[in-house]
Amino acid sequence: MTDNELVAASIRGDETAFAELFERHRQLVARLGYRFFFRREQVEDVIQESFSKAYFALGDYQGGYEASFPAWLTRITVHTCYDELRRQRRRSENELGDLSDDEAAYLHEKLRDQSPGANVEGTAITRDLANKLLHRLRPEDRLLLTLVNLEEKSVAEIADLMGWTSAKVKMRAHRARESLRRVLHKFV
Amino acid sequence: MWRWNKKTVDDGKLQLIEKEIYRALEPQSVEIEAAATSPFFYRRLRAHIEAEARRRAEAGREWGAWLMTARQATPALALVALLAVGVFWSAVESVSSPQTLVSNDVSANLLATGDVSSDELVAALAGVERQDSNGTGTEPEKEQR
Repeated sequence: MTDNELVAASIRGDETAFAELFERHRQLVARLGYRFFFRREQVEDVIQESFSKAYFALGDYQGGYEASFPAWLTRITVHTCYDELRRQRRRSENELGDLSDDEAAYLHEKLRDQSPGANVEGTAITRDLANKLLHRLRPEDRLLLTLVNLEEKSVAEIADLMGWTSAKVKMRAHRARESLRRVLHKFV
Repeated sequence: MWRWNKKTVDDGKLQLIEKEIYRALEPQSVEIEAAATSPFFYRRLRAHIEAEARRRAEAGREWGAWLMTARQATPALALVALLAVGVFWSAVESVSSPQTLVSNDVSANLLATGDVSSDELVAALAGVERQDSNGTGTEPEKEQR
């Protein structure tokens, strides 16, 4: 059965059809969730929330939407992640904590290393440290940088995903990059 | 305690660090595969969906009840509105009638002179009414003379 047939069956109340959709696209949602959150429980919350939203929006799904169910589900998941990032920000949930002295010193050393052969490639910036750094950005900055650098989405794709204009995406991407650099500059 | 000082940093180096950050965030395929594989996960998802459906239905029922009340109250509200319009209309009619205009003129004149007691005002108005009942304004005074 195709995705569109499964969606139609789910709308008619076929529970196994929705279970099949979940099984098919679970990893797509999990991969996106891990782009923004690194704890498994957080990612599983994203999966649950995204599929729940998708279930109630099945009636709005039109088979022709960007030619695929995964594209439609991706949009829902990105918005779920964005909402969660904003929620965390509002709650000032500093679950990641500040950088330890060791981590700060490590970054400082890497950024100040002026030796000719100095190259940060291959050095071990841990996921924990990377998350702590990105946690200092605003949610929209983090979202944009992640979509551009990790998901390798084009400006047009991001504009479509977020419902923004291309000009807004470009401007925000520029600002987001500047924000990250300001964060890094603090450790120079 | 580590502290930072303001110094410039090579732009290329910043770019490399940025790349390194993103590379660190790349999830392992094992992690992706392991996510939501618990046999209870889908059951939990279904429970979440059912709870959400109940919540939405409840919210829908509240709206429905509110709309039903509004619908039942519409005839009564319409009647009240009609009565209000009727009362307003009759009030306007009485204000614009000639007798009231004369009375208003008298009271306005009396009030314009300054110190007027309520008794004087009532007496003046009664006088106007008496004059009106006689059919003329100053005729009774002439007859007395």
